[in-house]
Amino acid sequence: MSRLFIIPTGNSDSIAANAPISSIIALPHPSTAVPTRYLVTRSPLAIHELTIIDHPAPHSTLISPPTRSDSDDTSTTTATSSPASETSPAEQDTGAVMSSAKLHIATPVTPFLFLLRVLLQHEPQYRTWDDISDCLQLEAPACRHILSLLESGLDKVTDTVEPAAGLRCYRLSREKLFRTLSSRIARMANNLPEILAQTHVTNKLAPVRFDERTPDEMYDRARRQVAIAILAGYLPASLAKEFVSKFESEKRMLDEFASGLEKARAQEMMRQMMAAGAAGNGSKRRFEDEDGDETSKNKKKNANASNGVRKLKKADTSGMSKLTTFFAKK
Amino acid sequence: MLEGKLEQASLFKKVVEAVRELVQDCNFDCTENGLALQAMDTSHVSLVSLLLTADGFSEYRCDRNLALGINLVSLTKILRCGNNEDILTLEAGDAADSLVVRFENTQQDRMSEYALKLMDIDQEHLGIPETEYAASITMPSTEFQRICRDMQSISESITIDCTKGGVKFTCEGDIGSGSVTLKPNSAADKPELCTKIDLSEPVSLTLSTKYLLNFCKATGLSQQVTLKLADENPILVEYPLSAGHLRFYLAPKLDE
Repeated sequence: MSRLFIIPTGNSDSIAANAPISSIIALPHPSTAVPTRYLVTRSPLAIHELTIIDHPAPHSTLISPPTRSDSDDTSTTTATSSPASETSPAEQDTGAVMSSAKLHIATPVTPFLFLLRVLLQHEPQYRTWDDISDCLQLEAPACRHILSLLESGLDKVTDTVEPAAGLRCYRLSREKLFRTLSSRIARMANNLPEILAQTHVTNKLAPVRFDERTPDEMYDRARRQVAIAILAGYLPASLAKEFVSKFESEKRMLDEFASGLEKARAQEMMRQMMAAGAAGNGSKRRFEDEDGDETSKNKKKNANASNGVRKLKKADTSGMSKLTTFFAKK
Repeated sequence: MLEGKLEQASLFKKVVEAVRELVQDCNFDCTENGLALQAMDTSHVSLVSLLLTADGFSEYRCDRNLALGINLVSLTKILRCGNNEDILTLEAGDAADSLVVRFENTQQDRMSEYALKLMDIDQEHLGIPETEYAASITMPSTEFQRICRDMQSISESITIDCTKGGVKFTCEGDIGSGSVTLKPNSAADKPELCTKIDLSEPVSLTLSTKYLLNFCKATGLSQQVTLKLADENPILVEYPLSAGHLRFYLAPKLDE
């Protein structure tokens, strides 16, 4: 069955050569260790996370035959998951129809993230790359396809020593790791996808009234917090906790500001509701009716009792004797 | 056959509105002496007793004793159809299934008539013995209402201590406590503002705030209210009417 992948530009050369350019391998997820499928492209060698976008209703996909202008624009193209492709070059020329509308969106993942779990296991010790790669392959045999890529990421997150000439040993450096990650926060924060910015920044910090303005620094902080949360999602739990805690004070300031806004918003809403209630009996009655729907049964039962009678039912009568103990029945 | 005419509908309206805060359905007992009502709340810890004597009506006639079973919320609905100044007439036949309520405006050019369906209510009457009360406090009804209102947000119960020097209302709740002390005073020109205490011995009762506050719905009926207390006995809260009375009894809270 054919699958449609959307992969970043820069992988175009190999496609032109029509060679099997990619493979899908299973690697433990950097955060949860759950085996997860990743797309590995050969040229350049890179790991891609896959996000599947599906349509809730049955849909098919039409892949039109490449025109001259299409062949120049190779940012979107098909790739097959195995060398034994079902779609021959000839078919590709005439276009194809796929029975599924699933889109596999491939986005590059920083390779060093896949090293963290193994490095964390032997954190205080310096170990050779051979040792580390053995551990990696033990955990996920598929790692052998990307060893060179993983090795290249070592420098960003480890301290190194050279006990003997030509022998380098590595161990996890939290300081280096966090420095590397922190350097990405600002870049991510300024390029948040619209939908994330909308829900976590714009909506959260929208001023209560039109004449008020949320300070720009609060918007910056909110964006940074989103970026931090995303990054933390790719770290093993203990590291994620430590990483997030580094930005604790910033988060607290933001939370205080946001909860203040939340309160003000609730008050404003209450004020408006009261104003609406005072303005016209009609709307007030409507509120009461809505309220009544839930307890309509109860209300019917009590329809013939006054407020006072209903309130007295809730009164605490402990320690009070019935009047019949004082006054005899006639 | 009952026929009673009141020169002002407001009196009857206020009475019914005060009683309905405590009781849902009750019998109006009509005799040749007047109109009476006695009923307990659902918990049976308080009792309301109303008497409108025949003198209070500009015209009154009741040939045979009648018990008119009435839902007070429904009666209020009907009474609201008339103005306070209207002349009000109540009318019921001997085996009637409804009470006729008639309003007539002061210019006597508008008459309205409503009928309220009656219900059968099986109600027991309590014999209230003559009690020797240790203390009797007469005070402005608005003052009593204010004390109950102020204290309701602090505590479920109010303690009334009466000594020769004065009467002290205290409450104690989770947030704190409070007290109001009133000393006897007599303003000759304004008798309605007097506070009078008749005391044979000091007495103290603890009472439910919610119930007392409920009794205060009768404040509009009388400028003065009388509280009568005897140790370990129900308090009597009485609102005097020009011809009759509205009395409330409430069992005290005793330490178990």
